[in-house]
Amino acid sequence: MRKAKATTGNAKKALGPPARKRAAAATRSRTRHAPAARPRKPSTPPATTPPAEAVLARAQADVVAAKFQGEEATPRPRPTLPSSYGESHLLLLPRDPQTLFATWDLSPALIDGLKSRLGARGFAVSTLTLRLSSESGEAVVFHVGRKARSRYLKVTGGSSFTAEIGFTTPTGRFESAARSAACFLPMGPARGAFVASPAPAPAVASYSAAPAVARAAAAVTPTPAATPAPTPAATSAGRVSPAAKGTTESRAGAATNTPPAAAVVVPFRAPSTPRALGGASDLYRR
Amino acid sequence: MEERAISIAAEASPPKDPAGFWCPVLHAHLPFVRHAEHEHFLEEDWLYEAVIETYLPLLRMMDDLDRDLVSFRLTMTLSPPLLAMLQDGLLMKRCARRIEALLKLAAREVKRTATHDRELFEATLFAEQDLASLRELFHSTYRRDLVAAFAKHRAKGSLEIITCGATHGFLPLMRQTPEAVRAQIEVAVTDFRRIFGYQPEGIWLPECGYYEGVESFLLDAGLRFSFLESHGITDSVPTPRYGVLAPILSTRGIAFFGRDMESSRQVWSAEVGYPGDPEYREFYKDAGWEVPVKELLDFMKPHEPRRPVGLKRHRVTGKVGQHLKKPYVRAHAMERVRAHAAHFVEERLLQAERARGGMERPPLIVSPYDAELFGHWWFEGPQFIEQVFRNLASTPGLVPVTPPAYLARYDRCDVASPEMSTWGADGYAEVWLNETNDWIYPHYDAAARRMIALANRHPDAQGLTRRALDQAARELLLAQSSDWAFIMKMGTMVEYAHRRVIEHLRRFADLASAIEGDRLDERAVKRYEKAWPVFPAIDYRVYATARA
Repeated sequence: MRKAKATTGNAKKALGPPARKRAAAATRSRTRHAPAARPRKPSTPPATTPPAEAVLARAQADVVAAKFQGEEATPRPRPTLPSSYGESHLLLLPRDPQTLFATWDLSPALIDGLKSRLGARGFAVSTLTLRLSSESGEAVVFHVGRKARSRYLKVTGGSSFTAEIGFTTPTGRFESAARSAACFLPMGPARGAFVASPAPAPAVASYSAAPAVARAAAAVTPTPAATPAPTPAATSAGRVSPAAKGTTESRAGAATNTPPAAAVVVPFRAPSTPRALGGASDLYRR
Repeated sequence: MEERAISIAAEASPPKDPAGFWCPVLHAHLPFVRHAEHEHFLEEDWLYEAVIETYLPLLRMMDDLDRDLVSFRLTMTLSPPLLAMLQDGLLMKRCARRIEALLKLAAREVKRTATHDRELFEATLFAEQDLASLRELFHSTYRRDLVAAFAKHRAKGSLEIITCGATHGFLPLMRQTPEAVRAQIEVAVTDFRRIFGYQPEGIWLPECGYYEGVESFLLDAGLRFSFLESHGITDSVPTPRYGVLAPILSTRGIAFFGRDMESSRQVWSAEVGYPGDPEYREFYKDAGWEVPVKELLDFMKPHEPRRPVGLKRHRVTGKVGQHLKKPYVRAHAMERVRAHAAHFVEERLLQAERARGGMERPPLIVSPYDAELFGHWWFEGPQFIEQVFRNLASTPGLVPVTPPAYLARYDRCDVASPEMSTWGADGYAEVWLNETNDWIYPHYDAAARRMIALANRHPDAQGLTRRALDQAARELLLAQSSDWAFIMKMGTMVEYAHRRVIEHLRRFADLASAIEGDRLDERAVKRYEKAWPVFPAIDYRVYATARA
């Protein structure tokens, strides 16, 4: 069962940068580990084993950080940015195959409108709610603190998600404030598992041909062994094109009859259901 | 151009297939750091160090290979902010001043050590002579124009120069505003054409950050190839037959080359790779921490905290404290360079021969590195690359190649859809999106949407409004540099990164408000233009929705 859960509530995170950890990191970055005198024999088989990747990632970070070395003088008062842009907006970003980042802003007009409709007491007992929906329409609801401005959301399995921020009233109605654009999570190594079996061999195309020709080759001339297996029904699930414009719908005061879901995790998809591929993948499959 | 075409044609038709090809890629980039208002500005040192320790030594390496008629093929990103800084008269003047200051300090240290510390004297003398040689190159050979020096090697067909995002913006986290992605790519390509006079064929996606859909913007900008972290290729659908050992063609017609992890680790890592050899020069032990403060007044003010200045005279030595590091011995280090270069070539050849069995064409090993790894981080790095090319000249089994030359020879590629990937830790976006830096994204997003709205509202602005819109676009681009998020994550120089993000976004907001309220002040616009002289040919309409 696919689950989703919130990991951190970052109250007021959008208002400005968090506390610095400069001293510790500076000390860390000055510690260079000297290796053995002779280089290791490269035994390394597949280049993707996690420890090797970790070593490389650490080495890379050290090298790049060394470009930005220096000792900062006493910090001066830092200028600030607005804590709100006065609009209702929800931004959903992909971090890794298991993590989304949601950050939102609520317009004062929306809050005032809600207050006047629900009354001060009704508004006070309404809860700020973040609803996360997968491409198949299944949703998870998070009740978040009134002052929270962002949240990391853990999900298992890659897919396409949209989110909606709003208030759940005491009567259970969801008053939507803003909806995010579709957000696409990478699937990581699991991606191959969703390819029909036997896995199709790739088509071959010519680089020198015009890109349009390459597209056509990809779409219609798979090698004999590459005939794709029947596309799983799930792949026809609607998915917004990755290049589609990321608009945000702002629907101040719009009411829906969604029941007040507790923070219960709803599976996004049955484990046996193949994942709907999207974007360029879909182009290939067609 | 004709000379280059001949070079590629010749490369494309050698008599026999070798065991494999090697494609080294150096990604040269620094954020745009220019503070004309201060005579000395700490963060400008990043550029001077990179010029003195990396770019000049790399150019010297290429010149030496040329002089000795050793064929080499190298691919290099020169990012737009780096190009702008390398062409900036003030910064290059200050760079010259920095070289002079280092030479003076080295000369004083040579005198000081001559009588009582023979080993340190020798190491300091080498540093002084090396600096003198670089000064000669900088002034007499290149006439302070490093961009022209790189272009010369490109014209000879040895160097493939590719572009990058306009300010190294991290594209996977911008995809909700496609116009912003488009601007990063188009502004970069326009700037590249302005500087070099030709259309770049390839791009290094900032942080190797790919997402499904970015290809349309690359194609629109006339770009045809790029690079991916290895799992971006291996997780592609369908799985490419040769993994990272051959480029793939995305369904939209962009060729992607995958990073080879084995060769990456050997060169990137001081822990398990070459740069940590005890004979190599130590990066962290610097005269800036050691000599009396009065000797450092050319580098910092007396009240400022000490910092590295770039005069380094000790070797890694081993896993010992800084006070136990021994003086650098150049001859010993060069012995290790030769051994490591021989080992590297031998291993790549073995790697190619191992992989060759299952392939109908010779495997391609793609090795991308930060250019600043060579010389700045790993002092002997440029000599290592030089020695690798010299060894390859007598190793017919392994042939250095650039991506266009490889594609000219092996035109047919597997077609597959790559997966979102980056070359950061864990392979996705965590380095640039975590608790230390996530506060910047709602601001980036709001500014990008506001810029798009402005571009849509002013389809053909003229005069001061046009200048203000162009400058607003510059400020947004400068704020979006992925370096700021990276610095916040790494915890060094965080204050500066915060300040840059905030100040650019504030200037952007000032300009946007003035345009929206029709109360532009020419002096303010001029002040901002002067402060950030980058992308002179920018056209704010790159943000217009109709174009995206």
